[in-house]
Amino acid sequence: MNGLHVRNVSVVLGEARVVDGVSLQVQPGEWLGLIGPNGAGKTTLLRAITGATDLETGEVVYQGNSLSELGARQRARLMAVVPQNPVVPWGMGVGDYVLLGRTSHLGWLGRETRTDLEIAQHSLRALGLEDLSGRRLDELSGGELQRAVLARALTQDAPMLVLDEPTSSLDIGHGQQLMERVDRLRSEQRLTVISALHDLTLAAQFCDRLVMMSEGKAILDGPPRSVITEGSLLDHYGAQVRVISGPEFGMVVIPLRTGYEAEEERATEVAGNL
Amino acid sequence: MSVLHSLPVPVQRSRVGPRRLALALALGVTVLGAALLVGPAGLDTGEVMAAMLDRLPLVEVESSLTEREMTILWEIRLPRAVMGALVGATLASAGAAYQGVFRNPLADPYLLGVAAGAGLGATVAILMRARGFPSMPLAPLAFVGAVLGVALSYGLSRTRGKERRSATTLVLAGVAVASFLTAVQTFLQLTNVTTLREVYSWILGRLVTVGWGDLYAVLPYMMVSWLVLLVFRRALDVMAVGDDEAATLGLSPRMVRLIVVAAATLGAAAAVSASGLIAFVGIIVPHTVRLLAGWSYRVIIPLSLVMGGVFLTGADLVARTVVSPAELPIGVVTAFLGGPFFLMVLRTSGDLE
Repeated sequence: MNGLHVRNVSVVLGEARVVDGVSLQVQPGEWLGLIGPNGAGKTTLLRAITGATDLETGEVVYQGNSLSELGARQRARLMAVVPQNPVVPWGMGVGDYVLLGRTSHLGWLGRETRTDLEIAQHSLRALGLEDLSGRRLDELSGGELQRAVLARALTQDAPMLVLDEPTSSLDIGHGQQLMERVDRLRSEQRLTVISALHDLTLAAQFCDRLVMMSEGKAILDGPPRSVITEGSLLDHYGAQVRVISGPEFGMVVIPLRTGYEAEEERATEVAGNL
Repeated sequence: MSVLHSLPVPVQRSRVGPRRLALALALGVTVLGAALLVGPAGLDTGEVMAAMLDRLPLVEVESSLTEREMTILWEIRLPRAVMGALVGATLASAGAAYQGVFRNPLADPYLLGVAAGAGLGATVAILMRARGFPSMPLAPLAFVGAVLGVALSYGLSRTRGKERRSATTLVLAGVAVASFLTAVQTFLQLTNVTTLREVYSWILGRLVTVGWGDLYAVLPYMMVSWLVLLVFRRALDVMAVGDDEAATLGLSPRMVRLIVVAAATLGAAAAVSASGLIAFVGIIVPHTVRLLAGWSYRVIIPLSLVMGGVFLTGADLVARTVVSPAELPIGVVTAFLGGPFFLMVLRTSGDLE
């Protein structure tokens, strides 16, 4: 019973069934990407997995533990979460912020030991933040902040990492670098990763396997090649794309200008009539 | 790991630091000393110092104070100064804790109905005294009223569904409960005009009639409150990232809020029952500490404890000297001095956002 098992999970928020009978598995050391159009239920499914929202039906089992039976402290030792829009408390220093990751390992007096400090230091170094530990969080750039959040998650020392749209506020370079860092940490520390992803090209390039969600259901599950197709993106995103694959870049999703060809034809026609 | 062990550990984190703590404690001793030296009885400074030194263990100093003067020093001035320090420490730390747990800079220890409940309890006690129960004790009734006020706010906030049970619901329930209890109190007060003056003077706050007995009655509650808040000061730092993230870091935000609110309420209720409603201390002291020493509750809680004591003992000193031998209500002094002082700190040290 290793890895993460999501079985028939449904979440109801208000009147709406936002997640509808989703089942999926993530093997240890695997990176699973959740994709799907806005409002498909990706974030809610991640919240259900991390225990932030109650389940209507189903269960989430990780390493043999049913997560709804665990307290916040035990859960935090099993999975670390990088939220989509992290709260940035005024004035907090980077070092203190990263040390918050040790919360579930501290005794009831909340004293950080030498080991706690060393683990935090290790995370800061792994993300290239060791020179920023005295800086204030609200003075960091977007890319540095996202790395600080990842460093905090890493400091939790949990075998599983849950990332909700980690690149959505980053530019193309910082987004790419963040994905590379996650990938390296995954192989160095043998982490299991599940992440919702907005950018389909990054999802295809970095994830071992993808699950596409639409209207609360998991509709496709498999390697990127079989999930990201021109047909599936047209059906579920309403997007016209070309999917190109090549040996040196893996897969690339290129959006097409809708009606471009028709417009071109019409322009030639008009020009001919003049 | 062996390589890691040999490295220095330069992760920077927030701590009170021995220098800051020593400075604050030195200020505390100075103010306490001043409170013992100054008063309408005009005791000789040198003799008072000698008498104080004589009380220290292993120190023998001759003091020529008369027995009456010794009584003024040890039974009137000292308990009053100590009570000022205890009430100030309790209100300031409780205010800091409320601000942390509700993530609201305007939260004060009276937020959830402590003041209104205590006010109602005190009014009932004063009325009963006037109606043939002359020995009705005021402080316990004020204490019970304060705790009931908060319990009512907390209970009402929990009647909503689990998903919507947030810090905001609790604060709004507190506002409603406080308005209701204040209305009841005002009604009782207006139907018994003869006691109006007494109720009003209680509401403004005072440390006048304090003896050691009053002090011992409230000290245990205050100490429990301080201890819990000191233990939870790191949890308050975790709460700064919001309920959702605090939960993923391994904390139960609702549990932390319940425990911290209960502890701060216990302290605030004890303080209010002993000294009436002293405004402003719970907001001004923690914010001044925050502006001068940083965002972390690991720093704010201990320094607020000490500086709250310093502030209130100092304010009481002013209250009983500026119009001596008469006295100003201490609540007037805290607001009159605290307001401008706080604005000055705010202007010189930047933002609170």
